[in-house]
Amino acid sequence: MIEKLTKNQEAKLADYANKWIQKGISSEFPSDERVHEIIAAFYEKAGEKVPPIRIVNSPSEAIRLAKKMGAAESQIQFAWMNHDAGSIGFYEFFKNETSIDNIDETDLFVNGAELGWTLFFDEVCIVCRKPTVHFEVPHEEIKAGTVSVLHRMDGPAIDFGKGDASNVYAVGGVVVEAYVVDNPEKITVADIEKESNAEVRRVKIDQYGQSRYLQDSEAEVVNEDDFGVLYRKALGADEPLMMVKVVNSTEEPDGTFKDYFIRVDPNAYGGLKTARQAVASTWRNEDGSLMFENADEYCDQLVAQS
Amino acid sequence: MSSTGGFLAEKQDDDTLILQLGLMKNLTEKLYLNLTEKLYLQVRGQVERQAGNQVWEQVRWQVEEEVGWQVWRQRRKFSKTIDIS
Repeated sequence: MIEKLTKNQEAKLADYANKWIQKGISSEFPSDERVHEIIAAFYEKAGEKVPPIRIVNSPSEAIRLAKKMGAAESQIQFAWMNHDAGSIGFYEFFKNETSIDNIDETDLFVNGAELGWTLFFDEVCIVCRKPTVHFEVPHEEIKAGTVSVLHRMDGPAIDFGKGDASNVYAVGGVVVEAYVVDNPEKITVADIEKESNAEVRRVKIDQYGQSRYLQDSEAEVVNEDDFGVLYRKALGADEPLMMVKVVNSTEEPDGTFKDYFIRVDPNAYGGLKTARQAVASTWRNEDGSLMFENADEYCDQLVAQS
Repeated sequence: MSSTGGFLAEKQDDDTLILQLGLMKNLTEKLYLNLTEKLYLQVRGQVERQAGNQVWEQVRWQVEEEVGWQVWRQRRKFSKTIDIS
């Protein structure tokens, strides 16, 4: 029984994490012969006959093919292969660096991580290629503890190929719909204003252009103070749209500070008149009531903390 | 209701119907999930919790931080797939 890792074992933990991070984001895909060898090992281990193997570009293509070949929806269960990198690294560490027994199957999964998501059927095995993954930093800079984010401004951040339904678009770690990146001209003022996710709204406004958005939306500057800028836009018979522009206090990796537009309740504090009130109104108790009865309390608390 | 005389009975839900007509059997559980379960139990049986947690946090979790969340993004698109970790 292993009770405690040795110093030598502890020293290798980061190497295993970094190795499997790279395997998890790699788009390298082996030869057909190697794919067959890896897949056959899984079937043979379970005493099953190795079926024909089909290699496809993405999970959505795999699903389409499986259905076409007669698989019921309930039978479509992927093995994650390369995206099980974390678990495989865990098992590989114990297999290579400790004396524990009966974990030789780890090698199946280590080899399996050379492949993308896979559908193991009795009549066929459908193997996905791996996507090309784009981060804000080059792959070689991605290491344990860095928490990198997906980012690409000229295509999908998780890219299975042009137009593939499995593609994932992301800007600064925020997942967005394809048109936000590929066709930003399709973003409209109405589209921005109906967006409920604040991060996605920020990306859309950035893509649309902040000043252009405020101009096109005919937003009125109600007040500007140390807390931000309060804008108001009438929406006909509906409640007016009010947003406060604030600067994120957390510095971005490149040293800049992002602007955020936060939608606020126009009726807070008897009707918002200042940016300070608007920011204070975003602090709510669990029951939805204002956390600060008076917006000045929010200000005083910040001063006391500084 | 049950099927009679080779005809599918009325009012069976769509999933049941598809299953009966489906030709392929998924072996992911037998070939992959069961083996991961076996590995997990082998490690659990031979490693004390403290040491296991240390490797879990410093290897598995670190990889998840960098890679795993990409998977979550993809899972949203394929909500019927399963977590085999």
